[in-house]
Amino acid sequence: MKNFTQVILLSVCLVLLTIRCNEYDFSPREYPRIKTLPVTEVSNSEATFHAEFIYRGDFEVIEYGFVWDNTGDLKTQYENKITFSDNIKNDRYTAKVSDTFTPGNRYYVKAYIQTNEHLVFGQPVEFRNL
Amino acid sequence: MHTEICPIVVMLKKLLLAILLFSSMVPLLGQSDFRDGFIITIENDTIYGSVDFRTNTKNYKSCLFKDESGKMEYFHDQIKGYGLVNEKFYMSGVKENTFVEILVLGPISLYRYNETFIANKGEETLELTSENIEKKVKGRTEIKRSNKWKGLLNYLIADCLSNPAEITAKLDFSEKDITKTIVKYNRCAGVDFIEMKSDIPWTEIDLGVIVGISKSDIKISDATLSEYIPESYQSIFPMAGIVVSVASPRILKSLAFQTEFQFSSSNYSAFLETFPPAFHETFIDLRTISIPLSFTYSLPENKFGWFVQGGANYDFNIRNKVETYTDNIYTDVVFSFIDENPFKIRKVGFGIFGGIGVYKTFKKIKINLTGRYLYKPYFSDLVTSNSSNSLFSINLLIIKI
Repeated sequence: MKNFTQVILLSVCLVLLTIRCNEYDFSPREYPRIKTLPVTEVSNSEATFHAEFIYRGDFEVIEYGFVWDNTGDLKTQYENKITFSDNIKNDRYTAKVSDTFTPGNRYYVKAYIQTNEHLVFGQPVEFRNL
Repeated sequence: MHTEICPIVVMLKKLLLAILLFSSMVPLLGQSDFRDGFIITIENDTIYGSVDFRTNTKNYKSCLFKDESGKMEYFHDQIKGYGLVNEKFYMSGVKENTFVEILVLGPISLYRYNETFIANKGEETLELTSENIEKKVKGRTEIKRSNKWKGLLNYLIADCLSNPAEITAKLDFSEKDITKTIVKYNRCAGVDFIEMKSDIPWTEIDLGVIVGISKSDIKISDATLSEYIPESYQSIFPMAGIVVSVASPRILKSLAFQTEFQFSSSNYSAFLETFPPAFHETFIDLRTISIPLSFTYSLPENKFGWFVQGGANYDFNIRNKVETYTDNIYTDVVFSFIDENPFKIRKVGFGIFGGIGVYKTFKKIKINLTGRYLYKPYFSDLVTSNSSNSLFSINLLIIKI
């Protein structure tokens, strides 16, 4: 019984050693890569947006932020936009925005980054004011 | 039809290759293995030396003995018997023109020759066999095993054991059951007897740990997805778990049934560039509990021993996430998208595997080092695709004995 416990404990330790964090190894590109994260704290007048760099590189970021609308179409000009203008060093950023979010309607937010050479949009993330 | 058959053909080809590889090693593995032993001459002298540890079939025919004077092959008419210390003992004169293995010496002595047990009581020697008997029942041929041996055994033990018919009714035609019955009789008779392999257990269950490293290759070939899903994914990852080995060393020391409970966490990624300019990067994230069930056949241990292994593998993916990150590039503007389910990896998977390894036994542990190849067809849920996962792994097993 003692031997059995020893073997089980040893194997549990070995199993724990094999567990790895769920982090993808994203390949580098000629531009930084951004991922839009799920929206939190959605109300009639506010929402909090989140984004993370999946590949930052050493590009100089001129501008970054979020754009949102109720279509999710591919376009570069948005009426609804929140912008930060610094060469961000953090892996993640967040913005609390004020707008009218009608209950039940669908909205789409995208994180974006502007460098000297590229304008990069993260994938659209749908959200609703429930 | 092609989609259905192709993975099986690939699997069979690889299995055949593994068998051929092993076959080519057999001459190397079949080298002599001399162990401490002795011979008993016709004049009843015991000469100690070493005896080649071979299969029973060869041991019935002759004994390869080595001492200071050199190597000699002895046949049944040249010596009374021979033995491997703490292993097996053979004697001549019980059955014509051959050695037989001694199982019990006493009021009833028991010997074995292939699938025949020979019982000797006083002047009487009976051969216990269990042949197949064909019977025609309602126009159909039925094959049954003969139970005549139970009647003979019944007759041998009836003068000491009560209810002999009841005892023999429950027996299987096996070395274990017949030896136990003869030992029971000899105890009952109250006369000294020797059970030759009494120190060797009938059943041995050993527990251990396994650690390993796997190189895995996933292939997904699907016409509808091939525009943006790469076909091949590789990963190298560690694995750990527990091993349970069940053997019956008294009957067949070389064969064991082995099962393992393994855990592994693996990540794969592959990349595809298309035109108009777009990058597609697919990630596969798996956390898997694997249960390989196998038989291992070990060759005798000298400085170390070789073994081969083959069996089936059951996988349960407790995590089976697949995502494709796509960047569409329009000059200086990039639009990213994520497909959170481009295809599915099955939750449950089956495969077959084979391996070869070396082992070394120490006082309290046995260490195995194995190389295994595992092939899992139908890895994905895609109906229109050929999908498979093949793994080559190096594993270290530490088994408490």
